[in-house]
Amino acid sequence: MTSPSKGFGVFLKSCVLAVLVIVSAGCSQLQEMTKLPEFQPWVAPYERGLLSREEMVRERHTYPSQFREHVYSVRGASQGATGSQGGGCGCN
Amino acid sequence: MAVIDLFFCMETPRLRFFLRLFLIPVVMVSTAWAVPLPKDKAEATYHYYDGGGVEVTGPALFIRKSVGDSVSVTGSYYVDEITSASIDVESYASPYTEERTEYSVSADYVENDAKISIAYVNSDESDYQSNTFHFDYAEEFFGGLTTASLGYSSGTDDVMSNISDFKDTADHDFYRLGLSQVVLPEMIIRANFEHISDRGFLGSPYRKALVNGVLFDENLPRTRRSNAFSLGADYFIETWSTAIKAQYRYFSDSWDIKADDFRLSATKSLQTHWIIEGWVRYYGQSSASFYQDQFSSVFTYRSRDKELSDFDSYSLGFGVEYLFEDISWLKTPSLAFGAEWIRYQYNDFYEYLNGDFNQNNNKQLYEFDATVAYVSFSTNF
Repeated sequence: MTSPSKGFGVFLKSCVLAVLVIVSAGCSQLQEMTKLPEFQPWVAPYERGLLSREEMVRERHTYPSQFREHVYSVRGASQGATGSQGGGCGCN
Repeated sequence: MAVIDLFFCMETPRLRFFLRLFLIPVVMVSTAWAVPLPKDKAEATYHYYDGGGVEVTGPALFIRKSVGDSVSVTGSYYVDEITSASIDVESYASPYTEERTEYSVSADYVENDAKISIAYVNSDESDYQSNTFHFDYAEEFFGGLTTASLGYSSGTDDVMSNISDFKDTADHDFYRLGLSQVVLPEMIIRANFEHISDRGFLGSPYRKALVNGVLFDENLPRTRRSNAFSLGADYFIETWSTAIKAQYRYFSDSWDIKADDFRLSATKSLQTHWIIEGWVRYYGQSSASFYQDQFSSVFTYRSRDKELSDFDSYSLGFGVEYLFEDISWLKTPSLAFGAEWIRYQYNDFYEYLNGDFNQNNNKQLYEFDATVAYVSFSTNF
C-alpha cells in the first residue's frame, strides 16, 4: 500500500512535470494566439524605480548570503524554500 | 498509457533520466523568450565561521559572463577549511582538520519574459562527495508584475568514513515553486514552496547514540520527505532611503521535525557610496521522532545528532558596503563586510561534564555562540 507521504510525493512530482510541460508549450505565445487584450499593470514600469533601488536588491554580493544560508542549514535540520538552490555538502 | 505510467513511476531512475535529459531541452526550444541577462560580474569573498568548537574559513570566487544577447555562463570555486573540535567530536573522536572544495558551472538563457537556468555543482571532501544538477525556469507575467518560477534539482552523494571502510550513497530530489508579486510601487511580496525527497544513508558514519550511558552507532531512516514554505515582503521607505525585508518560513518533514524561521532586515543607503544593513533572525525546531539524548534501550532508529534535536537559535547581524566609482572597465565595484552573531540553545541535548555519560547529575543543557563574518569584493564589467 502506498504511504500518504509517498503518494503526496508522486502527486507533487506529477504536478511539477505537468506545469513544466504546460510552460514549455509556450505561455508567452498564449496571448498572441488567443488575441487577449493587452494587460495594463496597476504598477506601471516607470513607477517601479523604488523597487530597483540598491537597498532593495537581494544578494548584491553572491557568496555572503549563500554562506549564511549554508550555516543556517548545516546547524539545523530544515532546508528549502529560501529562494535559492539546495543540495551540496556532507557536513557530517 | 505509457506516458501515464512514466508519470507515476517517478521514483525510478527511468523518469529521472527522462527529466534530466529530455524535458530540459524540450523546454529550452519550445518557449518564447526576454528579461535582461544577469550582468557580467566577478566576485571574491573570504568567509569565516567560528562556533561550538568548529572553525570554517576559506575563499570563494565567482565570475559570470554573457555570451551573445541571450546566454550567460557562470563559474565558481568555493573552499571550506574546517577545523573541528565540536562537542560531538570531543565525545566520540579526535579533533580533525579537513578541506571541502566546491566547483560549479551554470548557464542562464533568457528571451522575452522567460529565463532558464541550468547548473552543475560538485562538492568534494575526504569523506563526502556530492554531485548536484539544477534546473530552474522563471517567467514574468502581467507586464512584469508577477514572476513565477519552478525548479528541480537532483543530487547524488557518496558517503565515506576516514576511520573505517564504510561507504554508502544518498540521493536527493528538490522540487521548487516560487512566486514574486509587485503589489505597490514600493512593495513586493514573495512566496516559495519546496519539496525535498532524500533516500539512502542520511546520517553520519561517526556519530553515536547514547543508550544508558553506552555509545552505539546511530541509525537513521533511509528515507525522508520534507516540505518548506516561505512568505516574505520587501518594502521601501522612500523618506528614510531604507528597505525593510521580512520573511517567515515553515518546515516539516516525515521525521516529525517542525521548524519556524523568522527574519527581519533593514538596508539603508548613506549619502552616495555607503549602504548599511542590519538583520535579526529567530529559528526554532522540534526534534526528530528518533532523537533522544539518552535512550533507555537500543531502538531500531536512534540518533543523538544535536541538529535533529529541539533547539532555539537567535541571530543578530550587520553589514556595511562601499560603492566605488567606475574604475576603467570595472563597473560599480563594491567592497562589503558583514558579521553575524548566532546563539544556539538546545532544549534536549546535554553536555556531559568530565566526559562521563553515566552521571546524570553532572550534565547541563548545551548552548554555544557562533560568529559568521565575510569580506567580499564585487564588480560588474
